[in-house]
Amino acid sequence: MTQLATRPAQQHADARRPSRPRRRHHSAYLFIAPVGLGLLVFYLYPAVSTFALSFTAWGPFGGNTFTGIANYVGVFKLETFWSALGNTLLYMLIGLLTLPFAILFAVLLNREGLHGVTVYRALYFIPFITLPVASGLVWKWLYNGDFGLLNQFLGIFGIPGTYWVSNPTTALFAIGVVQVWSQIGYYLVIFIAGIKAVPKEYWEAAEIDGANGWQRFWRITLPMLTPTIFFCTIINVIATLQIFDLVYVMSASATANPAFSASQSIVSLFYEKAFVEADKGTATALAFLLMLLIGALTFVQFRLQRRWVHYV
Amino acid sequence: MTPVPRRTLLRSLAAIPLVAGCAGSSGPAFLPNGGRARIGYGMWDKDQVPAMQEVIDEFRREHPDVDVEIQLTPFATYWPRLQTAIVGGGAPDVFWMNAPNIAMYARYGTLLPLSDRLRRDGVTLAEHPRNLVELYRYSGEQFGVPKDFDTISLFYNRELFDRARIPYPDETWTWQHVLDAAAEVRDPASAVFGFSAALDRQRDLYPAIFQNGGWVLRDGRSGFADEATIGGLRHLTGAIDRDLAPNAMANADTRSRELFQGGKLAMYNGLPNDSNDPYEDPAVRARTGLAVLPRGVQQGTVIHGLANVVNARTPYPDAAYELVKFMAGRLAGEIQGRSGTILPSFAGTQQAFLDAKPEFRMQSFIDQVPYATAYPASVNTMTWERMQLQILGPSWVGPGGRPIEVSARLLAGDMDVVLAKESAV
Repeated sequence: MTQLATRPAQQHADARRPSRPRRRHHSAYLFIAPVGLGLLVFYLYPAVSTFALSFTAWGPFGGNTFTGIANYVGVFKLETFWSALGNTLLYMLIGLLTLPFAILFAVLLNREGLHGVTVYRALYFIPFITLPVASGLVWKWLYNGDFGLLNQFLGIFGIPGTYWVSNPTTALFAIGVVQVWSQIGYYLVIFIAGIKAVPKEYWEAAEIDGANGWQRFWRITLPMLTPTIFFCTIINVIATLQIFDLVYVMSASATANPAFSASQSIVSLFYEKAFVEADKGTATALAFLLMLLIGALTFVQFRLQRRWVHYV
Repeated sequence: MTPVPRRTLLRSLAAIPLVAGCAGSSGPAFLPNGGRARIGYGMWDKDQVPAMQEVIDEFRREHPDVDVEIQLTPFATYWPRLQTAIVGGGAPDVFWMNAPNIAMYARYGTLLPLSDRLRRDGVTLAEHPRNLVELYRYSGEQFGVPKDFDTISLFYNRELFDRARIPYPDETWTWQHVLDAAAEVRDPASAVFGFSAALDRQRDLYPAIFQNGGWVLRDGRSGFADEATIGGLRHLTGAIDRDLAPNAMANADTRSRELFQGGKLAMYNGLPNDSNDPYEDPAVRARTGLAVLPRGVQQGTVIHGLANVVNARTPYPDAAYELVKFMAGRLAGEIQGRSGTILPSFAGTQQAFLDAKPEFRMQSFIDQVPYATAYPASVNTMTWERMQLQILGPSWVGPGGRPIEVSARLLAGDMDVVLAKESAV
């Protein structure tokens, strides 16, 4: 009843000053316009046109003809697609290891009275802001089978090394480790913020009740952190499913690498098809399938979050 | 219909004979509306920039109205970028072309046909190696004009040969000599290998195949299932299995040319411009020797060369053609040869190239031209070339790898599928 009563009054107010709320809207649109335009031009339009083009066969220099679902059928018949899909999912699983490490370091860096915290934070963050191509090249040298530091180090303990990024059995994991290493800093910062947002009283209360450090972490910090963890999982999964630069720099180079198909990801396969083999029809189909995969995995995660994410 | 101002109409009519008559002559007459032309020249090798700039300077002495700007793109991104630039309309007017790509670019009409212009100017290209000129012909039309060429020679490390007390390689050498010498030189303790059997098409695979009487591509069919071809490949994988040559994992981490440069490799197959780095380092220069490739059942090597081509959509086709024509001439060859960075294809200009590195027997590259086989290529070369690396790879990892016969036949099957699609289009 109250709603009904107030409505005419509001309408009356609107009629009296018709222009003011409108103008407010205008300026709001103005503020979101740059991002909106960017999204439209650089994300939405390419996504839609990629989808449309995935039903055509492209000549190497344009000029496309409609071929229905032929590209998708072709992709599913492609042996390299299935291996790249498997590899990409493995990269995703390895990438998820970033989060426990980031949480661990965040907790350690949040301890009271730790000296040089800013230095540590900077050290963890530097790999993230380094260009993936640069860190990939440096790691490639560390991994080098004949002259690499890693093998030299293992040699001290009498452990025989290998050609880490050229050996089909180790390549994917070697690249995955670099991925984890380079991403930790980013999630670390988010987790530090997440821990700082936990009200101190909870810990104090637990301490009074006699909970030890481990219990406080397990029963308070971690549950309070679940929204942050959820957010990080979502973006981590999306990011690792799109892994490209590290694979490209460390494995998929122009030289013959026997580990190439054992470490190729979907995006690097996309690059191969689109820009090396000039088969853009297959490439756009790959891109769309990857988008579907990302969408599906994100959807599943949103479904699952109800079971384990606690909002205060 | 929009009315055309009378003066504009008259002016354009007056220009017609000018445009029509200019193509053959040099000088500013070939420029539209008598102005200046700005041409972009696309290339990928930064070692060659000084020589190409000198060639361009000479060209501009004859054609002061044409500005030429070098656009350098590293090889790793050259082709993807060129392809997108051609679609988008921002590609250079004149650019470098290689054998794997020429058929595709020609088939899709991205290159300016040159036959008529060359004929009109009486340019026969007879001074360039015949199989190179033919490499840049597609459907009877000439699309590219060769600028340089390369064959493969054997680079060897004198120090390692001296230490093992074995004579240096020469034109009498066979595969057996190579294997014997490699066994002598091989020293696992200091990680020294006898020779390189890398999974490198131009340097290792193709020469070995041709030396065994094998073939890669003929009448739209793959030659990888042929016994002679497989025999050539087995020469390489056999050396890896016997631990005389680094396997593909080692080569992927450190390339043969770097191993050779570092004194860890006694022999390796190299291109003419692979001599640049060893030559620059005095210590490496002193210990490096060059010889023609050893023979299998016959002598063999692969010949490849680059050509200059004209973008079909250039706004200055005539000026661009003049530049390409100039670059096919004697002066351009002499400048390139003098720089020592590349072996020019114009006959008689190679002496400067030989003189640029007197300590090296650069003559060995030229000696092999008579029996060299042209680089195999078709429209989808890039696709089946990738297959070679991926399908042959498992046979290149040393003992326990997939037998080369199996890999080669798999490759032949997959390659035939690609080739069949090509002829079907």
